[in-house]
Amino acid sequence: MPQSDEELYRQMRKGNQSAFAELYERREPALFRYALHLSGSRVVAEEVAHEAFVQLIGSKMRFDERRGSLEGYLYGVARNLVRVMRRKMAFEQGADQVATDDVLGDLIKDERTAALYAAIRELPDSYRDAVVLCDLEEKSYEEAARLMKCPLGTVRSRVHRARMLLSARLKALSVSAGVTAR
Amino acid sequence: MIELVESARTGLPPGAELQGHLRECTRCKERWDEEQSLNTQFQFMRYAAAARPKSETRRHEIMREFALEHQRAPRLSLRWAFSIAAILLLAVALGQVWRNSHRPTGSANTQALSVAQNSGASSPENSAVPAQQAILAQNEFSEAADFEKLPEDSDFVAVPFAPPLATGEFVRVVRTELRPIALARMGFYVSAAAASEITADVVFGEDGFPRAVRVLEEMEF
Repeated sequence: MPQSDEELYRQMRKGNQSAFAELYERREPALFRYALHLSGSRVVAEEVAHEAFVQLIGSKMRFDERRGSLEGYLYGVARNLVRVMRRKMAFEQGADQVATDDVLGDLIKDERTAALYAAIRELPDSYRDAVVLCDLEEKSYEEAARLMKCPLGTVRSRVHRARMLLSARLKALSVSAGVTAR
Repeated sequence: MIELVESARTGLPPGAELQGHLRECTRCKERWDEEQSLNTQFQFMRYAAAARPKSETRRHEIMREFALEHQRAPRLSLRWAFSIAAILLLAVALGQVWRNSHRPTGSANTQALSVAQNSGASSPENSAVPAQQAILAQNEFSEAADFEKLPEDSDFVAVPFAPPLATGEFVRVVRTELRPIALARMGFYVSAAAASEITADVVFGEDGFPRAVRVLEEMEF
């Protein structure tokens, strides 16, 4: 039976490197994807996923089991780091530049997908979290509710509203594209 | 609408009722299409995100960071241990200083009183040495003498032919090194062999004349 994240964390705190390696293998890819969907930038996502684990092993920040799961804690750290990095990058080179320059690097050149990433970034934080966790990370409503620390019904309504906003945004985009094409 | 969105999200075919509604309601049909389109986009984004080349460099980097952090941890605890030890030492030293500065008060009183008594006893003329004298003697002791080194059974010997102390006259007790000749001049018998200086407590009157002497080294009188 695989050990829980919390058990691995306890062992890691005692200096067990293999426990840390297992935790890293288990959680880092999801953290990367989460950060990627939130930021739309592969560079930012790589940095965030790495930094979240650096903070986890550091002595300054301590995860407290009584306050929630380690997974939720890591998502929280990643969310904050994305926010900080986006602010920093927007300050350094302008927000529009960030949005257009690095939307999934070379993988996504599709205008519609790029627009969807931009639309996701423009969503309110809570809606964005809900849609990223449930629709992009394919978490159940229960898991998302646990990670977001809010009731299941709230998550569902946020997902529905977020999808509605995104659809509207994509519709507007296709209309404007149609007008331009004419 | 909830059923429509959930059905689109999960990819499950809509129920018979919803299917019937979608055939009739163009608005809902449009929404259904939008939701399907969104799903396709999300699917593409998921694939794109999953297509991530595995970075061994990052992994090595974080593992090295972990190793470094755990090397730092004992060093930190060692630093703490040294700090605590230093604080304890400082506390002990301060305690010692405090004890030393407070200890003489008690013994000084007794010493001063005994000096007063002794000087009075050894010179019958000065049978009553006032308390003030004792206090002054105490002050002198605290400044000039080390009480810890005074032998318990030592006593003052009145200087022969010294003028008597007046009533209420203050005395001072001074610890000093006396040459044997000085002792001889005060009327003490000093062995010729005693060539070096002799440590002694001398009781002086207000006029500066010695009244009593307590030799702190063993010697023959």
